[in-house]
Amino acid sequence: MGIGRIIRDALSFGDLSRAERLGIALFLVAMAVFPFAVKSGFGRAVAVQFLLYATLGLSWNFIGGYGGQIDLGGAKNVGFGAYGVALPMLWWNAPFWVGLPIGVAAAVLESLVLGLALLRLRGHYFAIGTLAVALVWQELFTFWRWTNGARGVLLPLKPTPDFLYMQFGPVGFHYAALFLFVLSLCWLNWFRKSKLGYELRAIREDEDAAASLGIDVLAAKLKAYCISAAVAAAAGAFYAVYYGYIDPASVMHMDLSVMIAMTAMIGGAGVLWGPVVGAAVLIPLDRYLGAWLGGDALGIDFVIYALIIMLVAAYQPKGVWGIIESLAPARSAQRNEWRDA
Amino acid sequence: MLLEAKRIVKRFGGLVANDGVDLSVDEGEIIGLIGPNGAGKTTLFNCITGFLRPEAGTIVFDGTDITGWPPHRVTRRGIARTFQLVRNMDGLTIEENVMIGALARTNHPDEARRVARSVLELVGLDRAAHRYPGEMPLAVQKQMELARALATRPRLVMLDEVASGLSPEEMEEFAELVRRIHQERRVAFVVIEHVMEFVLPLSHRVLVLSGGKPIAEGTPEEVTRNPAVIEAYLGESHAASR
Amino acid sequence: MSVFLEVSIQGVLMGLTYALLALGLTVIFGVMDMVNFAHGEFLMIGMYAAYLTAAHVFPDPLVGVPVAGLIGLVLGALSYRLLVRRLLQGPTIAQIFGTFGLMLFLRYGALAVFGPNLRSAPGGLVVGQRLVLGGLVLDGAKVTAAAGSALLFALIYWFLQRTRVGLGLRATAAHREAARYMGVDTDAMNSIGWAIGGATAGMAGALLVNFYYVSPTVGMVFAMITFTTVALGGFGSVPGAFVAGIIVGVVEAVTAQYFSPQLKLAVIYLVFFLVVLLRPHGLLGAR
Repeated sequence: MGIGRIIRDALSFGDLSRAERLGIALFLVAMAVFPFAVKSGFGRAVAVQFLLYATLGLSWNFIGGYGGQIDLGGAKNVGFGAYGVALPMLWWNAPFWVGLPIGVAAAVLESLVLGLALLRLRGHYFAIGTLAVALVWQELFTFWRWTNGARGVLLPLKPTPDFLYMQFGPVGFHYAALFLFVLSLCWLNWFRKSKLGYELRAIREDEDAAASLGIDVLAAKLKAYCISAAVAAAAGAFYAVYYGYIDPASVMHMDLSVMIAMTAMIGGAGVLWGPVVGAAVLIPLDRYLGAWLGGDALGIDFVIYALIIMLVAAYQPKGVWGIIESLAPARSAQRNEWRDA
Repeated sequence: MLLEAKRIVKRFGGLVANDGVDLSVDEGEIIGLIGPNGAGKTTLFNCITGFLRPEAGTIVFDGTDITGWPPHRVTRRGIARTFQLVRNMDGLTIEENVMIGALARTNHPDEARRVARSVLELVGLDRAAHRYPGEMPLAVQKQMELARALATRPRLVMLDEVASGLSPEEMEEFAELVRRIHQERRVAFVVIEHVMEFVLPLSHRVLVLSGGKPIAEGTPEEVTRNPAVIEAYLGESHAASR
Repeated sequence: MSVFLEVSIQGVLMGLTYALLALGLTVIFGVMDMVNFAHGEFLMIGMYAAYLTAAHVFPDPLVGVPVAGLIGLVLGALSYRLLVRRLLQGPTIAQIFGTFGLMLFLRYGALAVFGPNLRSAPGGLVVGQRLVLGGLVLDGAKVTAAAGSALLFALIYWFLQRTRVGLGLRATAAHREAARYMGVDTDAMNSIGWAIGGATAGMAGALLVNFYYVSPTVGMVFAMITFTTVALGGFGSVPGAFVAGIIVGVVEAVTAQYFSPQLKLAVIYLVFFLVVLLRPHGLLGAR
């Protein structure tokens, strides 16, 4: 497959409906002008976090949404990405751009090796397996001394904005996050139209039928699992420089894994911009809830998420996207008839 | 010989599902595989298509020993199958379902779509291409499953009880479809079937299994006259009436 | 007495409670092919029930055992009636997220209600008691928990093997459709399965309170241990849950003694990982 073709597929949204294309265009424009329209530090921080979680949700969609493999251990990849940047920076003052490939490579390598085992598991077993693996990594990163253990890593601060170390003001971070997000969106856009994307969807529907149609189920899952890890690790690398401090409890915690899977699930798993919708619901809710409740009402935010998850799972497993779809059933039917003619 | 399975043995715990079964299929042949419930027909299918690993015996397809190969490799080598209970991919349209099959032979989804369209036309489902299989009648789902199998460009298709659940008219239509595909594409078929009205007129040759063992083999006429076969089937209906 | 033997005995004691915990999870799995992610949280609720009973009603967590069992029973049955029954109509992804959501709900609900602080039982008949057997010094609370767990395990086992309802549960687990044709109310069996799961987890929690702290997040630790145990024993296998519980208990104790207490969870997860890879149906499973 030629590189030109890949780029064309990644950038083309031609198969989506006009309303969807219009939505994506408006959204990207809004994100591009956001730092000029919103001056409040809080609002800008919410936007960056939204882009970060949307990217993580997109990363989950490769294996979880399109592939139907419920990965509950996404945080480990974020952790690898974050530590990949933070530790070399701490030890050798290595720039972000040196740490990024280290973190991504570590996440991909780990996913490749453990994926060989994990991806043989189906359904619930896979979900528990990923949960267990992520918990082990969190334990190890807390236990080990070379990772600074539970104390975490405080990244050395640069006095002036510095592209090499990815340290800038809020506006710079916004565009960096937006860049990463758009890159991930394009990658997922290519993926869903690619052979691999079709294979993963077939596997989600029925593994045995997929195998009977010539799909190497394990190999296909493994590829998607590694892509997912790479995207999440890149987001993790960004997380490290954005917050300037990481520890196992923040970048490797189960709650983060949950948030990642949830953004995709609530928005619409296996839909290109489902995670974007999910993050748009969850992150502002989370931040404003946090600001409103203050530090007193511990856990209330997650109680509310939990209620949302249970409601979505019980009544609308397709998420917000499913609700939108059910509101406009006539449109898709019409489209089908045109195609038939 | 296109397919030659020899002395296949498969046990589940104490139960011997296949006890030294032979099955050979010639290029472009239609073989009926019949036998009472629990005779080991589907087990034999699963052994050949890689879903089960036989404990003993060899399977040679087109000169290659494929014993113990995983399903996807068997399919890519040229054996496609359908399932006893239809296994739609309900989240994918009928066209996409068939595309999945076509992707066994190409890396380009666009090319796969073209193949899918032509196969859908062949089985007469082109009008339903953008519908979802779950919303279609069973007969259509079974046709789609056959189309999906054909899209992998097989030389041998193994059908597992395609006629069950179909009305007599639909069954007749399906038999016609199999004959047409057989003629147009020179594909060989192995057909597991309970419904004799469907399988006997369709088959060139029939293999009868009972209790995991082959008990008869021959033309449809020979087999229906074979006392051992009558015994096996009578035994079943006898048992069922109790 | 050798250290290894002593450590192993400690492990067996803990393992009996793990076996009881695994029993509840494995019954639910057996009956309806579903993993209850909230199992650890049922345990946590049981622990709080026993702790609060001890703190406010009668100063002994053992009195809380039946209370916790009852609360767990109601919690399990309600979870099924209000949530799980609906989840069953959806895809697997909905089932996983659904009980996962329940887990988060109970966990963070407890955090909101009880706060993040660790609490432990103020005292009780067996709390802090030492039991000296020859050269062996045991914690009386652990021995009590182990004995209680073994007793409850035996009781549930008897219930499954010897009663009509138990037969219905086993029939549903063996073949749901066939059981339904035979007149078994499989929906009621699901309910009962969840009630048993909740009750056993709750009572295990109450027994643990005699020597283990309570916190809103304590469920996760035990949930992962329980998943490991169930995987090791074979999903759906009751005798497997018993044997595997003891194995996991011993592995945990030995790791803590010879490597590091901080690594014991990592090793248990590793066991889980190896088991699902090498023996996907568990040690005693034969599917």
